[in-house]
Amino acid sequence: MANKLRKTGISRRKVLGGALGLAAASIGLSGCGDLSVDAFMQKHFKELSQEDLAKIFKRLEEEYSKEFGKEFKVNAASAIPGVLFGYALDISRCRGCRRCEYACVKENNTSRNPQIHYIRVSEIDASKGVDLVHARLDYNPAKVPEPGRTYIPVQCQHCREAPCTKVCPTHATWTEPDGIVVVDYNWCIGCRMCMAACPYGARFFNWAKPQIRPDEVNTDVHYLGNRPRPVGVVSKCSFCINRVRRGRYPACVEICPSGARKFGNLLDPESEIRQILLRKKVFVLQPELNTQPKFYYFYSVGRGFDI
Amino acid sequence: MSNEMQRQVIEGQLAAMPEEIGGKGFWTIFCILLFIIGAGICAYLYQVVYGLTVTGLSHTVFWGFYIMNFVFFIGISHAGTLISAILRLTGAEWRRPVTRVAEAITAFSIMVAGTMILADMGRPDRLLNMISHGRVQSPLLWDLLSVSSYLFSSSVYLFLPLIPDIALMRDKLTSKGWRWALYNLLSLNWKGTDVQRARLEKAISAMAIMIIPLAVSVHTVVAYVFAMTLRPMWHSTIMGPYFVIGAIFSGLAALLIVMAIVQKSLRLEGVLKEIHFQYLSNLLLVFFGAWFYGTICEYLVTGYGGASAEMRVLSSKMLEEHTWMFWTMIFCMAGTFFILTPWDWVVKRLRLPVATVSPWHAFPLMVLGWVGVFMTISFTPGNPLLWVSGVAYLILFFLILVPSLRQSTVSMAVSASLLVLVGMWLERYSIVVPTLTRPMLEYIGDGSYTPTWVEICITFAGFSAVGLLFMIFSKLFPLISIWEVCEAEEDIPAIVAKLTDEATLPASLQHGSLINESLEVKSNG
Repeated sequence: MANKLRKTGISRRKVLGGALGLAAASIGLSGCGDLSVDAFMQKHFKELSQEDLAKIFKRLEEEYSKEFGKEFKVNAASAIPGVLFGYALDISRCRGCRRCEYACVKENNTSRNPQIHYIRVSEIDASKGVDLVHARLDYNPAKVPEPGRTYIPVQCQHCREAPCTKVCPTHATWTEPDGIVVVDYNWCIGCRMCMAACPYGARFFNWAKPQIRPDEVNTDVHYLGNRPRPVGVVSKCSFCINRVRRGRYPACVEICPSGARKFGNLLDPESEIRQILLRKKVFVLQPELNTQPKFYYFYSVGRGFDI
Repeated sequence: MSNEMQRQVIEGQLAAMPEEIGGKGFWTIFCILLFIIGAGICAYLYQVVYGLTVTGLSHTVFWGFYIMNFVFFIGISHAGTLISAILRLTGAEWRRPVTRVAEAITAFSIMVAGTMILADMGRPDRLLNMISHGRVQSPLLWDLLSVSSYLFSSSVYLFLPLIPDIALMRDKLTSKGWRWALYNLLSLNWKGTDVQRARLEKAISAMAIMIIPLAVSVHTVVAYVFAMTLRPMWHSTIMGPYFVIGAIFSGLAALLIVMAIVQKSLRLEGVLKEIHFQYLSNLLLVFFGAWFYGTICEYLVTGYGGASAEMRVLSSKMLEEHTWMFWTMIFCMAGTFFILTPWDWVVKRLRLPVATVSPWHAFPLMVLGWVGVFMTISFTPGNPLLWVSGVAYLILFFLILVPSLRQSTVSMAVSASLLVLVGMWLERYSIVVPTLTRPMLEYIGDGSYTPTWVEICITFAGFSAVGLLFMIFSKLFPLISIWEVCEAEEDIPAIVAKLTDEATLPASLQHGSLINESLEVKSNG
């Protein structure tokens, strides 16, 4: 009898241990280390209380400092009331230097390997107008701008009728009150339906764990913006949510050497962006799709050269 | 022999089938499939550790083999619904021996389709978010809802007609082992009383009625995952019906192949008769027509419209890097048409002055096919793949007119079905990938897609899993619905007699009664 009992005891313990081991192994395997029980049990961003948020920030800060060896500051600054962000890009001034692309990568901690660029500048033969059929991403002259060329940068258009948020099966992406389309990287299931829906190719999947050199990492991060991304989720331009909600320009606007990039509050009649909409002939990309972007393109002056 | 005795003989032989299965060949194939699935699981774990970067997917082509396989397996799963539910409701008597196999294919291929979605997800650990925070506006949620309810109801639909057979299997057992316990549990205390029978019939009919719209909705919403985006050649209203037709088409082909394997390996020629293959082949030909019509509608309208974004996708399929996939698909389907068309019947109906059909009679058709091939080649003279496809087409054309092949209904049905399966898988490729390689904003540039070993391993594992599940099922339960076959005992000789009266029926279909045949085959074996 005793023998029998002991036997069952051992087998039960073995089974329990095996199950725990399997669970631990699966947790260890999936997400390669960034998946803790807390992260697994975490609620949706909009359901988190202030205490929950504080706890999550602490956990993320620890995780990031362990990974990069630096102190991180995670925040989730919320939208300022009475603000709707809009963007305008002056094609006549863009010189195709791609400084915005690299400023964006640096500010937003996007993956260096595999490479992810939220902004992509392409070159078009000026005689063809803004004809994206004949645009090239891989232009590489010794000096820009080249004569007879137009440059057109494309990034997330922060649509009013965003097709990407419409198709998300889990509410992992949504439009914030200030008009910024954001992704909760701790909620995205990585189905890539939003990438299929986006006509601008502005959403990027993290195919592998993003690689960033510790000396290049930006430690001041926003939960919905530039914090280091986990593997297997979609990320995108957030108009530098970490900066703009604290009164700064996005990194691409700040770096632009020719002043082609304009940014501001669409609800403020005195703002630069409203003045541009008032005075310039603006257009949006693919208006026929009814996405209603808050990202406008315009020519402030003539091109200044013949075809 | 009295009816009751004949019935007991059939019951005994069919119920003994699961026990008899399991020769050397069975276990060899079983182990090979297990090994492939093991390799697939290893590949998946590798992908979980390193991320989806180990696949050939990229920013432009972000869906590939996994999604294609998902669509394909969901398509295969439509075999069961169509055969079982529609034929049951229309009271088609010949369906009786076919339904079980069809329903089993359905249940197993949906399960495997689900695993393909898991393989495609960046964060499978967050799958439950779709349930806790599902957005009903998302086509993927429609997918989740309809596919999971389809899995549930087709499992129930497989199980319900199994109950009397399980009870029978239990009663045939001599010893009370684990098999007895399993059958006893699953038989739900079935005693075969009139009340139980009436309830079962009612439940099966109710399920059959419900499962038809459900099955149609399943493949429609699978199509909507593509059609609800604004991408060229995805954003099309024909996608829903086209997917449903393609699904039933490939499902029928899968059913025919599995039926042929079951018939040959279990020597069930007396139960799964040539007439079943003949009827299902006819149905396959009908669905070829429907599929072809859908294809013409889609491509002709798109091509004639000539919108720039759509033309880029269309030309990538027909003339550029996806030509190989696209034209092989077309050749496969053309081959299906030539194999399945009853040429002798055509000759007879048209009163052509020909006694038998020879390859040379099809010469004009062949010339027509070649004109098409040459016209396409003239657009892309440098594409050797097109030439290869053209030559393959020619060989195929002659092969299908080989008299010995044409004499056997089963071998014709199987060769057509293999072509359909290959063709439909390639169709899934030429729906998913070409559109992604040509993004809407052209500046992004053309994408390319080459699957890696991880995706190929997981794909093979998926196919093996369907086979393995089917094998396990065949070892546990009878592959022929015993009680349904026995129920039609009185009807079948009459039907067969009626059929054999018709002079048009080939000699091979003129069988005696079901019972004598099955007895003969069994005693011979």
